[in-house]
Amino acid sequence: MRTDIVEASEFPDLARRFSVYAVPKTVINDTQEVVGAVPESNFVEAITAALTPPEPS
Amino acid sequence: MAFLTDQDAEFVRRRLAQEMVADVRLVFFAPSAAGLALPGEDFEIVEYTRQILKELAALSERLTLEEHSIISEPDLARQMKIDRVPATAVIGAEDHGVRYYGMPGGYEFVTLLELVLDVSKNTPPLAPATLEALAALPGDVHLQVFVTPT
Repeated sequence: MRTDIVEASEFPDLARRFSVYAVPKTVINDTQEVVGAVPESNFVEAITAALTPPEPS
Repeated sequence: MAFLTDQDAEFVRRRLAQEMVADVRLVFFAPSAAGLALPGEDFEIVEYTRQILKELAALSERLTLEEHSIISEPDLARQMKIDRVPATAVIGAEDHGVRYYGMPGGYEFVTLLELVLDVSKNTPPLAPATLEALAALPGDVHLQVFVTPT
């Protein structure tokens, strides 16, 4: 696991890329996101979702 | 001017003394060597970051500050998975892969302090169920946590 803590105003390119309008915002594997301070279980859910391939449509 | 007031420095010194277990390295990557600014570089932010890290490192013998340049040491930066600056890797007995990008000023100083303490203790402050779920993950995880100092 890699964790980057990013000061949003100093890296506006990243903040724009991931539509950061409120902090803290956590982006997981560039695909899932969690906004705000949430219970650990919500993080686990989002991380699991990020590693689960999307259902074929 | 110092970033930490005497009172804050004393508070931080006490917490480090009471809670640190293993030594911790603050591995700071700047664009270039101390005192040199490149065109387009935000010199002040890099300088403030350097100052904050220096003041923090001075508060415990268990903390050391190393400084590197992403320009003259690109291999080391790549090896540490650092791709932008200013960046600070916080490394204890193990490298848990946590990097702080930008200036850990304002309220974010507390984030840096707690990170140093967690890395030093080497025990994640997470619930057993969370650790179990994370251990069972089938692939790598990259978290980007966006913060602001206010």
